[in-house]
Amino acid sequence: MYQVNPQNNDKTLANELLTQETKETIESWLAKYPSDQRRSAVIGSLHAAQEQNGGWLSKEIMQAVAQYLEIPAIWVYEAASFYSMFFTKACGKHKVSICTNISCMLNGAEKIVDHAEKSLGIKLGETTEDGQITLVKEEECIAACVGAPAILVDEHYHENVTPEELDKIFKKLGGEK
Amino acid sequence: MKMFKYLKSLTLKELLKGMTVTGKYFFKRKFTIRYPEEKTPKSDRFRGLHALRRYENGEERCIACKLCEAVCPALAISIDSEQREDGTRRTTKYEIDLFKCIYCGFCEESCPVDSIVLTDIHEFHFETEGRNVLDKQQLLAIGDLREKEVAECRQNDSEYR
Amino acid sequence: MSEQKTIPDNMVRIEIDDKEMIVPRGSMVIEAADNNGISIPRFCYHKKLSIAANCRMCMVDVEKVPKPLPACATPVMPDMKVYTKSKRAIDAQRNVMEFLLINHPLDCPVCDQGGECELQDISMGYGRGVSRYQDEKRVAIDEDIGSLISTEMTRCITCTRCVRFLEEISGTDELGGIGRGDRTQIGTMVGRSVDSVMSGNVIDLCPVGALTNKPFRFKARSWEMMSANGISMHDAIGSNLFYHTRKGEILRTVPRDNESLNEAWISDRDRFGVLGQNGDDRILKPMIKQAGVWSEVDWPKAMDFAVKKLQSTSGKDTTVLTGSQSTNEEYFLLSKLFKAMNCDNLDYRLNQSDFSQPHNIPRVDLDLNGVKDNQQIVIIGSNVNHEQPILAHRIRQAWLKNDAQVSVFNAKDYGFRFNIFHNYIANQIEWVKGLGSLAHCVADLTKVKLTGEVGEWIDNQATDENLNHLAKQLINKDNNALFVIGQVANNHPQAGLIKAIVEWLADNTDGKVYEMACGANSVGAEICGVTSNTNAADLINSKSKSFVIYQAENDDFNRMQLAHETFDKADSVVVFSSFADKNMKEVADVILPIGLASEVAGSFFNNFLENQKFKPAANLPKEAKPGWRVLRVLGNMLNVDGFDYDDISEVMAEVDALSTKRKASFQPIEVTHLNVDGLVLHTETAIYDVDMLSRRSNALQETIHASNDCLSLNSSEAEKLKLENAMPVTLIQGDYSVELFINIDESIPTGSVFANKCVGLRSDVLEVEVRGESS
Repeated sequence: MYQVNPQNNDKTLANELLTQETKETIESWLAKYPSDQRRSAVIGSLHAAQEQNGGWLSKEIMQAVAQYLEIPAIWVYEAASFYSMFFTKACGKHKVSICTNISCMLNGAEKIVDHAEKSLGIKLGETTEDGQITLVKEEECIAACVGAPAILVDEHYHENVTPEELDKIFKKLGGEK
Repeated sequence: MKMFKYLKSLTLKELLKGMTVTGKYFFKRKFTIRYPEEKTPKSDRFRGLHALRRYENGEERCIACKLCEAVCPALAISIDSEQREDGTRRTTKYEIDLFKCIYCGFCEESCPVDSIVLTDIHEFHFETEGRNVLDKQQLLAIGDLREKEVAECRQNDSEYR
Repeated sequence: MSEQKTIPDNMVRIEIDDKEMIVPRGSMVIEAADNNGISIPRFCYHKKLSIAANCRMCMVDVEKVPKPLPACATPVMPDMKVYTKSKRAIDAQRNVMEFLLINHPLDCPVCDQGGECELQDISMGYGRGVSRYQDEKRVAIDEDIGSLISTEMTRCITCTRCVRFLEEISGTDELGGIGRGDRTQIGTMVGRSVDSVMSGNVIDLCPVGALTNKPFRFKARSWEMMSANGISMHDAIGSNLFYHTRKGEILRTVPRDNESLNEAWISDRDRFGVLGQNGDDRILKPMIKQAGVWSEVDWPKAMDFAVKKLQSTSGKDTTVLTGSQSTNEEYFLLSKLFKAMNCDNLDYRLNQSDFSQPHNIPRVDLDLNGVKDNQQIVIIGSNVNHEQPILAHRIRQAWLKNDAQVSVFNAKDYGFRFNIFHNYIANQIEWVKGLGSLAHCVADLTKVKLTGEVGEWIDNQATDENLNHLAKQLINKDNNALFVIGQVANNHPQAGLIKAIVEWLADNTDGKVYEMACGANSVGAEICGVTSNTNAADLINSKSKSFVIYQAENDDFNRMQLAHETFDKADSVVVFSSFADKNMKEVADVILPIGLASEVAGSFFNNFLENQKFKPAANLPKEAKPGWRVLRVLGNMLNVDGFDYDDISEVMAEVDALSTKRKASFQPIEVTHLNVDGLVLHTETAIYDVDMLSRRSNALQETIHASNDCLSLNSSEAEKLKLENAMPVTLIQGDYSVELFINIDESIPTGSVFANKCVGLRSDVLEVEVRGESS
């Protein structure tokens, strides 16, 4: 049997920080798994928490998620630090991930990166001054090789991206200088 | 026979023979040197008195890894170590008993940071009991005194190390 | 000759390196190899932890398998042929080694693990002389995870042994793998510390120098140290240890495997407690006090002085009080000496307050390996995790592996690392009543008639639905029940009653009892006869003219102030001790410096009555002498017969001959009724305050488990009293008052306040008053 070590009953952070909406999302995720496998809901819960927290996961909100799921806080932190779609440091409102893996690279992803860096005036991994756009550092393959070069903007795919198209996207996001 | 020998001695043949040798060497190149005014040249690998070296910025090299202590066949080295205030590993005691030391140079060979070295100083003596044990301050002082020579020797020898 | 050996169903025949072996079905190749003396290199595999198979060092070649397989995660198959030294296996191992060394710094000369490093050893066998890697190496930032473990995470090879230890063995989930891929680092949940009471074991587990012993940091190299066998000086499990000494000084402690006691682990108290040996107030020379002035003297003079003091009063007027950290031999000679002098005032139970149960060897009906066979475990009045961490580990394993159900009767929710079946947390008076209710339920279910005063008391306790449920489980024939009695119960003013109820429960549920002994060797003190018809509490209150205090100090007594006053008033106080604090120096007349158990030869009885002998590990400091020698000379000087020992083995032989038979079970006793209006005090000795040695271990005192001057109570009580966190208050117990700071802690039940005993409180007076600043 899969045993979770007993957790502290303290639920203060979970009650204080998580909104009703987030809690409902977490509950819907929990319902998908067997009741003794609450750890399975951690990714869904972190997505909800990240959305609630303005696009990134603070230490406190990760703890709140752990309290809500009744799993060790370190498990939540492990998951949050593992996946590139979770941000454990404050970042911009919109996240732009430019794939630089083999297919995209061969189709000119580096040009796209250069253009993005130039037009926003920031390097990969940084956030624009107005806090609108973050260029995600070193995004691995986003499974859109068919439309390389591909980028991911707030969970939306843009395929066959050209610098001109990128400008349009940035304009829409409101981060162009 | 005795008579013959006696007569032969009168010719001073032996004396002349000896004098010939003396005379020959009198004009040959001299081997002896007038120590201590004169000294023979020493190898870069000469193993004399020990020293602890420093880096150019004045920081002691020794990191208290105790490999020299472990390798010393005569158990002449004894080291105590501790964490210094800045968090680095340093010796609090570094002593070499020169009576025990056999000048094999293993300590120098084992040192990962070239801290303990054997200098070319070979003229030293002790007048009081206990002075045969060199402590860390003395070893560092010797190192400071001879740093230039030590560095030069290591540089010359670096090709063969 | 086709002689087919019959192989039992649960075994399989395999070959490793052409060596035939029959091994249990389902075991892993690496286990089979280990048990048959074939060495396979490994980092992440550990026999006591789950299998992670993430270091890939144990790659072996299996016949008919196209790729090398990790030996730690490959179960044995019938007629499997494994080659650990074939070219494919060695190539795989060499390649893994090269990858592991890519990011490992070459700082062995400054690394404390150097010389005992698994990575060093294995790289000697499988590593390349020169690295082919030329790019930048990974660097990790070190976290401060407490005062016991120092971190150097750049050296980490992410074998996750520490993560698995804290998750599986200690159950605290404090470390995890942060990040991914080559950037994975072992870390805490942002800036937390590792607070498990067994945390020190990760130091031994770490195959590299990433987690090392902080107090030991940079002190010595593994090859300069001598190893000496030792026995734990802090709890009665009697964990087996190795002391590592350099020039006669103990620098660190590591566990010595003993499957029946501590397995491969030791608690932090056993690991770091001995560092208290260098406490500031260590007595290095015999000292005598004349006209209020202390002077250091030589041994003959001090002994003469002590003899004069002892002879000035008759044996009947002398009281002997001992701590629980000395060897059997010392207890034996002490008892022999003073009983020959007609002294009948000896006791070691300094911290106990209720003596209605007479002197007895603690009842333990099973050994540690038997703990896992119990389906129902009831912990009664014990912070078992702090009192005997190894027992807590065993109970946890019983819960984890055998689905044991653990119930608790306590005055505080200690947050045990196992799920609690029935959690009865109430104040010091109420939980005893709860235990009575449980007994009542059992009596109702089994229809056993309750007799005697205790029976009557049990009968008066209300039954309760939840406890009835537990009682049903306890009397169930399929369930083995185990009752664990701890120090909170032992030092409880109703200790006798609690023990009587437990005895009754065990008898009527066919259960077993595990009564924790206090300190490391109180069992030895009991067996060796540091017993008399009077008890420690009465002795402290008596008008004895002369006191002999043996390896004990003020903090060891339940009533510290009274002890101090009594000693102050006495005509003479002869102290045999390794340490003497200010309080002791105020009252003592002569202090004879004796060695700690780690510095003398001797033996300890553990909770299971095993007599474990040991030799001196460390040198005695300066002029300190082994206690048994001092007592031997004292015996001769006082003209007592039978003190002509030449060697400790003669004393050991006499100790061996002593009976270790337990007297009949707990006596039926008179019930003391407790009644308190208002707040009930719960005070207990903190984990690192159990003896003079652990009190002086700085590393332990810097952990979060160290005692503090806090008064803990839950938020609802705090609200009632209008108190806030960190507010200074005065706690009044009888005529004693102490300034404490409020700590709001929900683990304290309503109606109860909690404080550490070392602030001067006594455990037998439960009535206290809390005064805030304003009032």
